[in-house]
Amino acid sequence: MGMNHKIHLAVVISLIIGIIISTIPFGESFRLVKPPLVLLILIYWSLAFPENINLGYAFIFGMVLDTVLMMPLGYNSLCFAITLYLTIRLYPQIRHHSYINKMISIFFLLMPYYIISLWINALLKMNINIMNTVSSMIIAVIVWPLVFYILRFFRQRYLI
Amino acid sequence: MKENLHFHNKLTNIKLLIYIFLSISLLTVDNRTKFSEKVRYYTSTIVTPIYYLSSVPLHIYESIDDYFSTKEVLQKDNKILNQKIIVQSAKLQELAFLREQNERLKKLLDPSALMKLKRMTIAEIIRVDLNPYKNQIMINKGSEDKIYMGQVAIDEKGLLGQISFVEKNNSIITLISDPGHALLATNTRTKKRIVISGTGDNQELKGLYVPINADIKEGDLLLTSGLDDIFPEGHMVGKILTVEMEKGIDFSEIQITPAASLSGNKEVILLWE
Repeated sequence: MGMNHKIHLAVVISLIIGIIISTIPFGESFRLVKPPLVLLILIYWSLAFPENINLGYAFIFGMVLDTVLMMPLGYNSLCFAITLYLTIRLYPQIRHHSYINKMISIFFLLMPYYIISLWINALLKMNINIMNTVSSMIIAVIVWPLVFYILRFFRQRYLI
Repeated sequence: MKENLHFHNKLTNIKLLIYIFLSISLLTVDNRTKFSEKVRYYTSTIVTPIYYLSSVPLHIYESIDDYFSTKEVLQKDNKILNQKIIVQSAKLQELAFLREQNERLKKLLDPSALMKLKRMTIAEIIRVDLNPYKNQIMINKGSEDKIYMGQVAIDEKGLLGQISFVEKNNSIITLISDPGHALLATNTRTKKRIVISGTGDNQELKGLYVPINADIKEGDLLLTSGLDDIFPEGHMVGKILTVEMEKGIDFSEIQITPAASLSGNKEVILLWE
């Protein structure tokens, strides 16, 4: 199996695990402030292999997530595609940052994701709660190093 | 190399535009035609195992918890439950008498208004997190068990919601706390109607379009009115928590606590027509 195939396989497996984890219930209060785990995994891989991970991944896995979570089709694929585009664009700047700076830049990278999802929520008459959105953002920034180190551990072990 | 990179960049831009266009058109079409529900229906055999997988950790946790719950605790629970059964069967005796009386009186008033006891089915809740912006729960009965759209779900304390999507082996209940859900209830004290809508919070509902001079008080009980053709008459919806009036607004702001426990149940009761 070539290196490229291996990378794609690793990305797909980690994204499927991410989708399964995002349906696990952790209690009623946490349900509303869940971080976008699948998006964080996508961001990690696009930082690690910017040549291999393209927007198609964001679009397709956004649709898969929509189907699994029973959200309107196209919801997550739109949010993911735009966020991943920004990540790929800003990638050369982020890569050499310190860890603290990386965490802060994740906060700003996730901002368009939340803004777009709030827009769609408003259009489709779904729940809008700014406090939940802000808490979800903060939790995502806290969860990011965890996602980063776990995925890096597996990448260094099995890929490069 | 530089040119190659430039080409790569250009391609990404075009791809982004294509994906944005595709997503927005999907969202629009889906909003009009409920296209995603069809997709969900046909992919349910692939997707359903994911739900079972994701509820595994909770099951493991619960079985460990059960294993370590001591004999004494179980005996105590058993005693409490037995007492509950005795009290409730005593109440049931009374109910039978009341129903008989009620039927007799109703026959005198209007022979067409007879109320029949509805057939009930218990369904288990599959505990997965779905769309975080909607208040929905998934249950383990579907079209194979003849579950139908709009079927009413209650729990032992009150009204839960209605079935909004049916698959082969599962279905989705939209709770009355969903911001897109509304129903017509009756105030038991004044017999006035009130529109109740969800807020997105499972502990809170709100009353809509109640004029500031309306007779409504904290602690009033609200029952389903039966006028909306979905919910049968006489199920407990909730209790009025606060009534507030704001300057310059014609309607009072009404907070309602739902009677049913909208989160934290393990089973729901489905009513049949």
